[in-house]
Amino acid sequence: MQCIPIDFLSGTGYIRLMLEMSEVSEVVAKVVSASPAGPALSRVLSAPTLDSAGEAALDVKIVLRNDTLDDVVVRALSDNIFWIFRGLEASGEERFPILSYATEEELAQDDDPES
Amino acid sequence: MTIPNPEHLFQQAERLAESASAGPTRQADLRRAISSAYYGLFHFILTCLADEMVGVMQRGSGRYTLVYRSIDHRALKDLCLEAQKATPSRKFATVMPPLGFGPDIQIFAVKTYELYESRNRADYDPQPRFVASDARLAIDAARTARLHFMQADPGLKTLFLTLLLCPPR
Repeated sequence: MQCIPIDFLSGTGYIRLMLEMSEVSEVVAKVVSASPAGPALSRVLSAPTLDSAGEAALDVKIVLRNDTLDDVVVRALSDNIFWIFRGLEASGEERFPILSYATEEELAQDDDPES
Repeated sequence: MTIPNPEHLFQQAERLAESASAGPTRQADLRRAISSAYYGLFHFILTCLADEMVGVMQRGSGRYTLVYRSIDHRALKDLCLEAQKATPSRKFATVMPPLGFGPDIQIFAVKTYELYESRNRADYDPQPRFVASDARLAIDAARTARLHFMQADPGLKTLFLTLLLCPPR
């Protein structure tokens, strides 16, 4: 975990806590694994990003095994969104995750970049 | 007056996300599917707001339209970021319950925030490459977020809608 002073000049001593990307992926994987979507999970990819307002955020992609995305898994992943927020918060992470999803097959596809 | 039906927007999103022929679904369709899922939820909350503040029987009135049109996407996102917290920030502490909005509105808020950010990327950011799984998750998240809001405590729903219209300064 990195601790970054973001209000040093005002002397408030406020510290923003940031997990390493591997730690973010670990937290997310733990949440998904503990849910009915667990058997479908292949891996989690995390990277720092900015949200629509330019604030620091987390780009988190949940990668699933091929042919596992049935209605039960979709609903479980949808329910996981809240617990991923809570899991990251409990780990001291202040950035919000922006979640995306793909199967291994979808991740390997290389579509027409225009459409 | 024709208020957009959230379920119709979710169904539109499903049609867009389905591959019409062999091969992957077009990026344009996947992006519109994610956007439609978000918009279904956005229009749902605007309808809840105007019904609460003006009244279901006044749906044809100009006052109803004024309230319906008064909320922008950013206002909803900002309130959702606050509402998802287990304990309110200082700015909201005097108007929010001490233990927050409770699980239904917190789940609604988290999912709405996620859909807001996904829709923003889908509509404006050329970098992400979306896949059918993204669209399926967005549609389910929008549908279940709506259900969570509908089943939340009536008093907390009213408080959420009041804060959406009148955020604390």
